[in-house]
Amino acid sequence: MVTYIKNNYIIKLFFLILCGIFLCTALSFAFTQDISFEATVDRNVSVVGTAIKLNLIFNGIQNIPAPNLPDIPDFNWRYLGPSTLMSMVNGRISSSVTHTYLLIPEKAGILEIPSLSIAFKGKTYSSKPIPLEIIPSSSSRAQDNGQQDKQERPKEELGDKLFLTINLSKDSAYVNEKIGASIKLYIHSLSLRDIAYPVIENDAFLVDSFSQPKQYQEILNGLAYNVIDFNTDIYGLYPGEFRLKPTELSCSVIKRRSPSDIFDNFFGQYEKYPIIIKSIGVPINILPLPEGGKPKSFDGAMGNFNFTLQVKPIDLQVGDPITLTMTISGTGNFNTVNPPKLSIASSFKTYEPETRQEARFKTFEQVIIPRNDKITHVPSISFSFFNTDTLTYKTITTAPVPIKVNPLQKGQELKVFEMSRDFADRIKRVETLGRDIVYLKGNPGSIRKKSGTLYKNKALLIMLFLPALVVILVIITQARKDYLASDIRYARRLAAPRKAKKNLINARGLLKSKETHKFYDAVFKALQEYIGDKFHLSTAGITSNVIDELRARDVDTRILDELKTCFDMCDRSRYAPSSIHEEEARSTLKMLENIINGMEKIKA
Amino acid sequence: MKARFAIILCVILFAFAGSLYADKENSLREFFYHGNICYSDNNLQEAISSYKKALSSGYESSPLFYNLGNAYFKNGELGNAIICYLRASRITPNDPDIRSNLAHARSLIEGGVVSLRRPWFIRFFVKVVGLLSLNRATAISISLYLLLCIAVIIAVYLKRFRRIFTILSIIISVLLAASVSIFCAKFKKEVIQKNAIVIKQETHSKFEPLGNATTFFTLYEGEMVQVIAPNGDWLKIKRLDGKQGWVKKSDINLL
Repeated sequence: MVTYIKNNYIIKLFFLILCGIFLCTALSFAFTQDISFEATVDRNVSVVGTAIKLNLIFNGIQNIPAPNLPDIPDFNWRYLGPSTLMSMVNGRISSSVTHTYLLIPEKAGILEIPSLSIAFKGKTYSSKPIPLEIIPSSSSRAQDNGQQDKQERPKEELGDKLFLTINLSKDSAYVNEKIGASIKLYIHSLSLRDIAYPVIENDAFLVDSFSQPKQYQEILNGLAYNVIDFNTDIYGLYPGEFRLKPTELSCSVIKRRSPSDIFDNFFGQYEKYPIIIKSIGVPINILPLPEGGKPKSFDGAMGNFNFTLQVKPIDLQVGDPITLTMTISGTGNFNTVNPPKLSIASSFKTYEPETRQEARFKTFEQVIIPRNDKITHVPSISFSFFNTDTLTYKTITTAPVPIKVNPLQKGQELKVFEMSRDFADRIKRVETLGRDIVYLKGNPGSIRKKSGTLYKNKALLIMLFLPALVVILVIITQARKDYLASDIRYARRLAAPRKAKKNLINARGLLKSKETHKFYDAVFKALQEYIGDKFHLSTAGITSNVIDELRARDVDTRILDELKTCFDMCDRSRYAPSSIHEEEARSTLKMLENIINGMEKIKA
Repeated sequence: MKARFAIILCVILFAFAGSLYADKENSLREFFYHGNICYSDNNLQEAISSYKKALSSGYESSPLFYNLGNAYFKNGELGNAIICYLRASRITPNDPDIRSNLAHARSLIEGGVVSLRRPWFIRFFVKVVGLLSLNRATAISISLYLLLCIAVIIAVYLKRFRRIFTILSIIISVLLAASVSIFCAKFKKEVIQKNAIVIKQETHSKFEPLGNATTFFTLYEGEMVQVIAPNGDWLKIKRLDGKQGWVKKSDINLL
């Protein structure tokens, strides 16, 4: 517990020491500041017998006692008291003391508070004289001016409290020469809101954008004004004698409303009155540029400039890009500075330069591409301008920059990128496109039946089965064909009855035509082929001897007997054809049919 | 003699059928052009009526739906305009004018179009499906099917070219599978799914098919919904984000 109290005491002590150091530093700063003195009044128009406040302001000091005012003719005065002010802005400490007096005018007319001299620590500080307009009291004025004065007073009061001035840096300038314009808004004892930038309307002048306005105090005719200073540059576009139209500035005056009921004391006591303040017009003479001594390379640049050129790289191959950085620095109208023209003929391919503009310089970055290896340097470039300080034309020419262009290696081709003009234009152009529906179609196009969709066409769908069927048939046929080709025994057995049937028809025909000899040849051939194919035997070697082999294969004996008879009959027809009758031939044919039918029932 | 009579009869029948078709086609053309004139004279009601008469001939065309859509759009009927543009795009899905007008009309739907973020491959498939009309997808599928049959037959019969035609058959099969998939997707979207467009400026989708039921969500003119089931004067609908509710039959129009 004791430790905690001790720690707390140390922290407080440390904090007090810090505050002390800060105050001492601040005071020492205050005492070391330069002392200035000025006298202001709260208004410079008043009525006889109505007090005017006179402020004697001492900047940079706070311990100066209230000075005794000398006798001021036609005024009575009374000391009201001092007020001190100490402020710290951006690390700078400033202090001041204001001694306020009441001055009561005793007579009407244009009076003056003379220059006041105050001596302090061996130095004498003086103020400027302040002119004052003192008008007669209301009773006497009413007799003189009547109602008219009542209407004019507010205007006069506003005229003193709020006005706009314009000052040009010169009253005569050349076309496109920079003319500094300072537009000052003077505010005295008024509260303003919504202050807009001034508007200078004049077709004969180009007005630059305004810089950040400055704010300071200025004593004018003994009144302390808050001044807002707007600065810009203007440029005359045509030669001639002009009068710059009055500059306008819009703002709102905040005015206290007289309370109508108890709530106004708390709410809505202030009202905003939007107003437009105008300055007076300013005469200015715009001169044409002198024709004598105008260089060829002059392209309208106005000011005092310097021109430098940088070339990178300087050792390169044919087709490689070189960047020329042309910097124009100085003061003047940079809007009139155009890229210097290059006289590099056809030895380089050039592109549009890229421009960068700052407050004090303008840079052009131009890409050029050497077309051949004979180029040894980038030629000199000239930049001309009208020097607005010396009022003469001046040309700055850079020295040629040596470069080394190496030839292309074998197999390499010169490739220079060309951007089409049309494409470049398209990149630059930014459009805002409208949106709406596309217009009607001119003709009805291809007309079809409602819901005339293909998938609903039944005939078409049925037809679609046909190709599938064909494919299936083709596959089956081909598969069978392939199988038969690979199994000859099966193929012969399968072909046996077909061939036998064919041979039987042939034999029957021969019998009908009574060609017995040929008939038996046909029967023999039919037997040979059928038995050969059916039992996968060599057709040529089949004779009556085959019966023994067939018996081994369990062929019915009745069929074998008929087979033997058939072979015998065939033999007889060969050796004794005349012994065979037609009846026997028919019986042979019958037997042949029986043999084939019988054998068909046997599995080979 | 009989054969000659039959041929003459067939020719007469074909000529008669052809003249009937030509008559209807001409009537469509007449109403179409008349509609265009009325539209140019800013007589939008008459233009809409004329285009509708053209459609009542039993025939249709993409420009007819497109022009009707334009007339509805200019007449302030956004929902009906979108229906017409969608019908036109079913016939000619690649028409840039239809796409442009449809996109513009959809951009005017109050509250924007409700949509879901889908995976890239589904978006790609939907885009491909959108490139073809149902008829074109059918025609491509049939053509590929016939080509496949021919390629298979040649591959089976001509052993010398069997290898080439087998590879060709496989390629055609893949293409056929793709085109059939597109056809199926298109068929589902245009035939199976009952899509509808809201034609009232604002309609409330309710939890029950009752006038005093609680509103679930609000639909605005031009929005597309999927009709799931009817119930008297009410239709159960599904919004693109999957939310379901009941709306009055008169507030939406089937595509």
